[in-house]
Amino acid sequence: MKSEADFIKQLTSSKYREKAFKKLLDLYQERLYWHIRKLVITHENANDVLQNTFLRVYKSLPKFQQKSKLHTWMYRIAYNESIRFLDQNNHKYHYSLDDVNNGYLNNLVEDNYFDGNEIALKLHTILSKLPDKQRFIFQMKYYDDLKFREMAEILNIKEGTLKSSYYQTVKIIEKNIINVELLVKTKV
Amino acid sequence: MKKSILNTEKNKTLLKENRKAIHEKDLGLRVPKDYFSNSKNVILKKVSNSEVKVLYRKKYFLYSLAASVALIIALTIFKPNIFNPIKGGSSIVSDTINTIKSNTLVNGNEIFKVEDVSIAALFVEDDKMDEFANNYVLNDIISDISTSN
Repeated sequence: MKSEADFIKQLTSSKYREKAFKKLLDLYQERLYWHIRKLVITHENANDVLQNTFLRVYKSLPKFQQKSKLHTWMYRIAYNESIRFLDQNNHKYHYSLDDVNNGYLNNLVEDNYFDGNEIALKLHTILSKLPDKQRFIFQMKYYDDLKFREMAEILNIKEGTLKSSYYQTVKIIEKNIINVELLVKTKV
Repeated sequence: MKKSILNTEKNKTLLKENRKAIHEKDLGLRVPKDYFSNSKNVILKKVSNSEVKVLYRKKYFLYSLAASVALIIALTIFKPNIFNPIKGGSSIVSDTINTIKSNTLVNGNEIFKVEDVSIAALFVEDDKMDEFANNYVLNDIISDISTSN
């Protein structure tokens, strides 16, 4: 049984670092992948950003001051890497209301690893119409199951604002999808 | 008792399956077969490569530094004046020789004597110049007398 502090010590010690980093990958690779995938949409892009995220985590671990939880810190890095990626590829991948959401949906449909049904496509269409930040907030809460407090740290937005944005998005989705119960959302 | 951050194996499997199901069924997002295990290896390889690069850069820097220090020491020992040459020193000497050579009153033997004295005079400090000149005249006279005898 290990505490987070012990685990971080291992991650920063030359003796145990490699083994501990493998453990870190086991714990967070998949979570961070899905978090990134929803931000950058395609699998190929998510793969690139995920690798950059873990490289940055590895290099930054000695400087990690433990002011936040390890996983919050890693989500923040993943989020920042995703935003950096979107900014760098602004002309290709950045989506907003101004783009009439074509970029988001086009890239989604063209991705070899998207095979959503009608409901999934409908949900993506609704999400694509939301402002970026509002969409990120909804995805982080609904799919990544992050706490509002953690999201506030990651996005640097007040908890109250996050809550209001999230519930507003939920209402929009409920209004637009009649068969909302078809969405799979089974929590462990 | 410290709080565990590591989930039990059963919970971890359930969480992973649930996460995958949500993203596949709700959002239609899939991943290639064995993606996560392959990706893990790629990340580990990249991380170890980045570490080698950092070490290489550190060593490269140290080698460059050591070579620079060795070069400075070598130049200081074998060429002590390389960093502090006498500005225009060679031009002063050549100008003096040319002036003497162009003087038709001086014969061939005298040129060498005058050259010797002129060059030697370059290394005499100003306040000792009178003494140097007196010695030269004295030696010259003694030399002339002994030659004539």
